Amino acid sequence: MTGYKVIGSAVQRSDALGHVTGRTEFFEDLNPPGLLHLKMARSERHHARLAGIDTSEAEKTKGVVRILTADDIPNNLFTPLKLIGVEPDDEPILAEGTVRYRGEPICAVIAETEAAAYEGAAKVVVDYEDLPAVFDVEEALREGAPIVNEHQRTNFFTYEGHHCRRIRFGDVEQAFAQADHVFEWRYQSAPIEHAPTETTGCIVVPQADGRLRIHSDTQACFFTLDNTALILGTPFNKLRIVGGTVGGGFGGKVDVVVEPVSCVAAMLTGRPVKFVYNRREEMQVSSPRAAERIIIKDAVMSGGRITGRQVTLYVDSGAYARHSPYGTTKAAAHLPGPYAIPNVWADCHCVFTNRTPSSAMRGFGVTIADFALESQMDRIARALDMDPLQLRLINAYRDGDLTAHRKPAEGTALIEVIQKAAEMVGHDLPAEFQEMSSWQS
Amino acid sequence: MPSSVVNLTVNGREQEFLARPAESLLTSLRDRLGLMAAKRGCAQGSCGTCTVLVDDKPVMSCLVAVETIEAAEVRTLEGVADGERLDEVQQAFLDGFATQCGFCTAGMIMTAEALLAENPDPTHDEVVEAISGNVCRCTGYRAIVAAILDAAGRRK
Amino acid sequence: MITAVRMPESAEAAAEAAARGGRVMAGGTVVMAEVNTGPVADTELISLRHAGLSGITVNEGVARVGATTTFAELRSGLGFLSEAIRTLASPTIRNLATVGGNLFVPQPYGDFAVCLLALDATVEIAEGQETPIAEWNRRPGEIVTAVRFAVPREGTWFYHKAMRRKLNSAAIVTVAAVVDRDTVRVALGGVAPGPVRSPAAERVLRGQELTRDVLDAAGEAALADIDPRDDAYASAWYRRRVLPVHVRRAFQNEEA
Repeated sequence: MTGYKVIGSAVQRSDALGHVTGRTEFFEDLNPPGLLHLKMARSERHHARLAGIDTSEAEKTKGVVRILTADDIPNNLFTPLKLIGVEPDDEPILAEGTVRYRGEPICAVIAETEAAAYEGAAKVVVDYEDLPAVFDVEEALREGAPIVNEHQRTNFFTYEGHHCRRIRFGDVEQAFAQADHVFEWRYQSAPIEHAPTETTGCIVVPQADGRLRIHSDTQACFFTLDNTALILGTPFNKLRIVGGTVGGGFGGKVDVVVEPVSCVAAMLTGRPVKFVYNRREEMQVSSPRAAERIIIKDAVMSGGRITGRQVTLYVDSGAYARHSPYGTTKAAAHLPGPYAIPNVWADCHCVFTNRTPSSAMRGFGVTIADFALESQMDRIARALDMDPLQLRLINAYRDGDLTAHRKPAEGTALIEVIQKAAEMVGHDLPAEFQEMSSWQS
Repeated sequence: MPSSVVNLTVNGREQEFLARPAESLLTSLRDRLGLMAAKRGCAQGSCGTCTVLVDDKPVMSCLVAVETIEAAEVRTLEGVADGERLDEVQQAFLDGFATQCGFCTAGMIMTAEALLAENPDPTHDEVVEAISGNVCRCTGYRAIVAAILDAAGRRK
Repeated sequence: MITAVRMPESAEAAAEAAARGGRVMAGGTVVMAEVNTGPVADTELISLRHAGLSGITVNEGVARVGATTTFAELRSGLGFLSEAIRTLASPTIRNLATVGGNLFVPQPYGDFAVCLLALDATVEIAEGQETPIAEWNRRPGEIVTAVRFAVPREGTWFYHKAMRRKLNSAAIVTVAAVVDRDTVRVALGGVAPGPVRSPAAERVLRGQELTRDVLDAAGEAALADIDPRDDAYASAWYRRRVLPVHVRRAFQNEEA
């Protein structure tokens, strides 16, 4: 017996009884009287000027109560990370003059029934004047590429005056010149949708005291509340958020995309409003994990020691910043992987294109970088005809090593993890590798 | 747009309510009868979160126009427990940590109820096939399959 | 927007309702998905649920399957189709989806239409006319009442479907075939805008032992009869690339 109450025993999850009896309340398990439904008229173009928006037919649709455009949103332009000082505001709640990706919201149609809202949204007529679009991160950075987002001024996010997140440690050029081998390979990932079983949505219920109660499946209640208050131009205490029960999030429900417009709809109609993505919207417009392109060039000695690593990394942020500037910083913080490499150079670009804005998803910035870094390690091992575990052990960082970010490594355990994994799968390591340690030299 | 009067027996109780034309059984259960256990995950028959039993058969309730099943017997997760006493499938899901976000759970349990009613001693593969229309995006399938097999054992 | 759901109680009444316009719905697995999540052009649905069109009869080796027979019912009624139906959709869909409805499902869905093509089925419409499935095109207002086909002799029915998951996914390639002494019919799904017969593969198979070499040749030959497309499940390139393998596997009963 351990003497512990929890460790060593099975403790029931606090929410499981609600789940197996169907009593857990998700945001949509609420049906306030007088509920209105909101559906979006969305851009059919990747990049276009909006020459005209005609809502007259939509307004005539039986059951349609009101149609919102950008003019109805108090502070239409925002960026979710403004709460931690990230600038500029670059994304409209409803499109203003220009659309920058296919599926961008233009008008919000509020109706008595879901069917009427869909029908109204389909009857909004938008006059587009197409603008040149760019869909590839490297093309977007070329001179003369069409500017995706004027608020950002360039097709890259600017980090404290710099065009990307950078690492400069030692001298990689010298390492390449002195290396026995130089290996350069390129990696590319596609956008990945979180596909939660519960789609993104909220119900906003006006209260008698003038406050709005927001029932949402956001993964970030207070982050959503604060951003929404800024967009509405109301004090934070005018909003109350009810949430925390999320039918699958995986990072996909932190973008503050449904609550602000639903709050405006509830304020202007004085009635409860529901806005929930259908499955098609969840796939098309909810932000995916960013596509990344990563080029890694390594200086390697014949024994397997990596003496220099140069990484050029592009994060496809899509048309707006959302959380991608942060994701790109995370990627930079993760390089060059868990290895002690004396010369490191990295440029990590957060790039705007006319694709669906990307955002948070499970270890964003890190996951795809790891895919590239570890694929690179395997390819080097193959090129040198080395055991891939031995290659990693030779280069693994240890306590006290200075990382490329100029911090002493501490709490490292890569060596021990590899040794244990090798033992568990019956992969023989020579004695010198079995004797390695993260803590003793 | 005239609504029609629909009669169903839901979890043993006779219910009469108004439904809009082409309203799905799922919408009726949730918005007319306040039975919120069945979920709307996709509204197109791809995810299984809305699975209920209609005349003992598991179906995706989002795909059933409610006025076409007048007088049917419908069973939802709300009708599975006996008061506060869970049935074997619910208990096995609880004990086996077969829930995570909980959004697929109602559909999974109802599909399992139908399977075990028809086949009290299913194999692993039969369980997998039975829930092949029910998506768990938290990827807890192993625990779910194990819980269904466990429930079969508890009923013996 | 749908403003009414008609529920005719006979094939004739259904045909009359359909002739006046409106969208015909059998199991609802396709139509309700559309109605639920977007604007629909139609204002009326015509549900066949009460039109009395379900049921299976087998007479002197010929099966007649009513149009609204569900796949769950068909699976217990005609054992030789069991594996095909297992690959078609999840049990929860099989309890709703119907034999008749499957004829109208766009590729890469509609595996049962591929089976019917291989079975050389006839399609029976409300007025009692029968048309071979290969020649049949639905006219507006027409109601399919049943399909009819000869049940293949044991050991002469072959079916194989390649998909992204082991169950409940659309076709990358579907192969259905009847190969008997003087009958050779090979139908393919997932590799053209609609289900297609493969006369080229049939010529290779006719009168031959189903050896590895013959099957490989039939698979290669089948490439002449396809017109694959890209979709979310597979590219046209991939479908073309793997078709010969799956044609072979259809006859070898290999695991996918």
